[in-house]
Amino acid sequence: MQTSQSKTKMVEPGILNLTLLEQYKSRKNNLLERLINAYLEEAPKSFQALRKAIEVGSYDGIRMHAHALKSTSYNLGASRLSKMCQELEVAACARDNPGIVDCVKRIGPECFEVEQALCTELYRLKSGPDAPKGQMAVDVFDQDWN
Amino acid sequence: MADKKLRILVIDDEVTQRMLVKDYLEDAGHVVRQADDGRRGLKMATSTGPDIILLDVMLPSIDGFELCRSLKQHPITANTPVILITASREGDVIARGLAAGADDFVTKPVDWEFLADRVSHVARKSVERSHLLHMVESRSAADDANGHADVGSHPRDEPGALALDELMRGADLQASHAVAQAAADIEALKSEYEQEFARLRAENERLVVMARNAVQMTQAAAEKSYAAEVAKLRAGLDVEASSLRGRMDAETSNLRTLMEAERRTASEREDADRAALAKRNAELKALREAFDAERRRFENEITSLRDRLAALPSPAAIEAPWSIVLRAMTWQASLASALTTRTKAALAAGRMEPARLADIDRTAETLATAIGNAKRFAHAMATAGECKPGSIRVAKLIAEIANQAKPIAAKARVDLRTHVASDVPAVIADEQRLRYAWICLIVNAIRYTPPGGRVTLEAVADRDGGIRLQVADTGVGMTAAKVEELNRTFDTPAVPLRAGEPAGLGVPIAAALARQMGGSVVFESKQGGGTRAGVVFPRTRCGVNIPETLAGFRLPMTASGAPELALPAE
Repeated sequence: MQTSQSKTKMVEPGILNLTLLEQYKSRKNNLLERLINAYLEEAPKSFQALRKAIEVGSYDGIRMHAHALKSTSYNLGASRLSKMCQELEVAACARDNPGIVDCVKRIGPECFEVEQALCTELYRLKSGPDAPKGQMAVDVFDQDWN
Repeated sequence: MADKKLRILVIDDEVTQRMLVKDYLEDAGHVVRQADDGRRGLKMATSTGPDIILLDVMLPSIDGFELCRSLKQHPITANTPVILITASREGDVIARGLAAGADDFVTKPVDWEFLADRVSHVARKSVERSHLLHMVESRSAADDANGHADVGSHPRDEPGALALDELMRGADLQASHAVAQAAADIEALKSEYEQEFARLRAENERLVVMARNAVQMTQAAAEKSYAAEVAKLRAGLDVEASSLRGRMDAETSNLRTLMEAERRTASEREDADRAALAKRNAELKALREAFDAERRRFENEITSLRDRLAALPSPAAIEAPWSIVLRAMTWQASLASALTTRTKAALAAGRMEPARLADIDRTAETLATAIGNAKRFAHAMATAGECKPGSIRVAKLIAEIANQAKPIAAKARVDLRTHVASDVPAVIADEQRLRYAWICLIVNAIRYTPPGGRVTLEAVADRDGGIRLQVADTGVGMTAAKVEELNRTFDTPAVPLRAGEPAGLGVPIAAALARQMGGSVVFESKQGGGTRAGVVFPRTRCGVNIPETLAGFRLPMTASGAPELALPAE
């Protein structure tokens, strides 16, 4: 990952629950930084696993990966994404194929937005309180979401 | 107990969840170990024997309920409290968890601030329950041990046996009392245990019922909330509908007012249109009257012109141009005679002086020019035919003649222009003769204007109401004597002429043609100040120009003779 001025973006309201992240930030041992790093590592894998489960038509797989993504997203304050994952989980339980497709179409871009927002937060954490807001130190554009 | 450092095992496949559990529990002073998989978690639990296990329900390899059941069946972990972490609050999940042996539940999203208290509470309850069970087991063991003492045998046949028996009886009695007391204690403990067990079971059942009730209450509350929301919406809609109705009434009223105003405006506009139309009709009527008056004037004018034309002198009364030609030929004959005399004199002298030879040459050249002019005029007259006067538009005639003269002017490097005054009337003349007369004057003007000079073809109204078609040049001009000479009729010029000088036949011919049409040729000139030569027609030879806008105009009329105009339909 590399710094990219042209790809900077402000954290949009509603993507992340910043109050929750502030609580984590007050914890010792850089909890928030470790959580974000873990999320940035795991979430793309979960999403890819989710896509694969859809491709092979595994409703249990969809439900399980949606559940995992839901939980981990909620822990990082991504409430909207978490809600989408919950809808997907319900659709998978009901074997509602159009519902599944609809959810996945919305979840992809939202995942992207959440990652960007978390990257921004990570940059701010690493750069200290005086870091310019909205500037990313990491680039999530090189990740394969397609 | 709350301060005790617990060894806690977290079994969860989500890394962030594990990290958060670990962080918050370690912060409370506990030791946390993690397993990201059900099988690995079972292995770690049975090998390390943790104080408490936090177990996620949804695991990839082994289902959380199944893992809980396995833990409860294993001797190492049978008494280890298990807290299930579940995302669902539904009663069946709680019931399944209790059936699997779970001790407590934590639902997602987890309230991290109270997780440590919850864990401590569950651990404390577990210890208390273990202690109680241990006590019961200890009493049961003691009870079993006392039962063995009762069935033991004592020697009764040895000395002092009675006393001993007494003592033994006393002891037995005491023992019996003790046993009875112990039995009573055991019974009491059993009763207490059973009560506690019943209480726990009741508690479990109460929890299940509470969970179900909670679900039902949630549904009931949701229904109630829905009903309230519906009622609120309905009330809002009623208000909105009432407001809309009011606005609609107001809009309708406004619309009616606007329509009424529009109707009034339209009526007023119709009245205005009708008045405008009447005014226009009046204007048209006035125009028609003016047109009729003008037509009558034209008709009178035409009648007058016809009368004047009829009163013109007959062509026979005017000197025929041919007589000029005849005189010109006479002059040419005299020129030829002079030439012959001079030639013969030279021949008689037997010699030819250069001056005399040059004189003979000029005379011959003049003769040739004169013959050429006469020839051209004769040709023109021969092709002109009978003199037929007609109405000639002067502007058109000037434009055509200017086009004809343009190459000659260009060759002489003279600027040729035209000017027609706006009040110039038409001319009653023979167009062919007028053209020829005017061209004679134009050719002369160009000839006597040096290169760079200007020749203007003009048509202007004359002072007495006639018209003057003149040629103005910026040329060399003429003396008063020359002008006088030109104004006279043609006469034989002096011989010899200078080389290249014209014989002067054009002007007399032009004058003769003009006279033939009732006009004349006049000259105004000043030596070195240019010349104005013009064909002048008197007022009696002028027509009336009909304006282009009226030419061919016919006012549409109805059968009754009124203008063909109608008011718009009501």
